Amino acid sequence: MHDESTPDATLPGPRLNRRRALQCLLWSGSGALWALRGGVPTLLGAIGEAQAASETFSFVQISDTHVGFNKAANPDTQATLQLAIDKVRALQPRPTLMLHTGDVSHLSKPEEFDTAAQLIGAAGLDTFYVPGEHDVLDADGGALWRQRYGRGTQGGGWYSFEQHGVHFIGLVNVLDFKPGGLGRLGSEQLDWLARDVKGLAASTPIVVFAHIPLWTIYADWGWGTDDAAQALALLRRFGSVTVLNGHIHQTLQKVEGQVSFHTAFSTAYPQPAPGSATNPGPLTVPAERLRSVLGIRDIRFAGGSAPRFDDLPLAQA
Amino acid sequence: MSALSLRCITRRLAALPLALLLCAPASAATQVTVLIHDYAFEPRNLVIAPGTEVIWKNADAVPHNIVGVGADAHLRSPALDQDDSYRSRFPSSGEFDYVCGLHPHMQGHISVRP
Ligand SMILES: [Cu+2]
Repeated sequence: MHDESTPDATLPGPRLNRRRALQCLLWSGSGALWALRGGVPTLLGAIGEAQAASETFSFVQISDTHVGFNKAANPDTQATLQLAIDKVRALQPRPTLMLHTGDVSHLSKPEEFDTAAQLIGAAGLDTFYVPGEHDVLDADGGALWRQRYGRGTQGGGWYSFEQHGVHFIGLVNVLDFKPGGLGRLGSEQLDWLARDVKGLAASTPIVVFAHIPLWTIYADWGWGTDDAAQALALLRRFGSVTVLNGHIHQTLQKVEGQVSFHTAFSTAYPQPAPGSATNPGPLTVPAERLRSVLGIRDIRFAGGSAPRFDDLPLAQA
Repeated sequence: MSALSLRCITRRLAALPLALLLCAPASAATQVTVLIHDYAFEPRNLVIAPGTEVIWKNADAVPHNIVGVGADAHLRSPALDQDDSYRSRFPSSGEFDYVCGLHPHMQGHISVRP
């Protein structure tokens, strides 16, 4: 997208050229002016119709807590989750809610879910979960998950809710994997999504959260979702779509039109950069570095349609 | 050639004698082991005689499992943590495909032949 870099002398700045400037200042369908700041669209102002932007509020994303994991990459995942929750509690202003983008547990054991609920509950925030593949390992392929977290959800555990003018959509892409495939949403969930967003104004800010990334980061490691394009097509008419994922235990971002994609830190262990190792298994870093590669994410809507992000490591490097 | 693919090849070469051994019809053997290592089934293709018991053993620090594909959907192990193993006997001839249910790019095949 940003592949052309012929400098244009009429525009200031070493990295700014005409094409980039055109890409970075866009009128959205709803008549709002956007700018890319740090690669993330930020609303500058609106003309014509009053924009239905969010109110000012913030929320937190945590991910991949893997309670029960105790191997070399992090022998004490409960301690690092505890640190993460301490960090959540210290956030100012206080977040309105928390999202957990899956792999709550390591092996879907009841005692792992119990411990996670206890530690995460200490944040004192309404918490909205979607499962990771590690959470649906019971013999019934997710029955245990739905029993604990499935109240008010549809099908395999997907749902949506409104908060301060933002429409949140929790999707499940860790069921019914196909051999050789990536994550999958499936037709039942896609049909539900179409119905879910049907009545919404295009100016409604959308936040989608799911475990496996909804953009293909590295197919050889299964880091993508086979039918994500169909879900994104249903969201294309919206002026601001923020996609939050976990699964890859590192922060990556991509912006595609009005859609921004963000993967999150784990609170348990890091994984290698895409393709940088023979497999995506837990990465063991020196113990004193571990907390600098784990973390939480603070997300803030401040009146505009698109939020600002702060990825906060548990400790500075 | 990248260091990555070189490593993969080295690993495969190291696994070759074992793979050759296991690819021969195991008429006398009653058990064979498939090692789960580095996000792969070793050997990926296994040829066994009817009645053989296959033991999958996970050497990775992350869990994997065994899920039969298609007609073999009855094959389903619990999640195998590091050093866990799972056994299944194959009483009659046939071709069986399976994957890891957590990492579906990990695929394996068992040929059961008299
Ligand atoms: Cu696996």
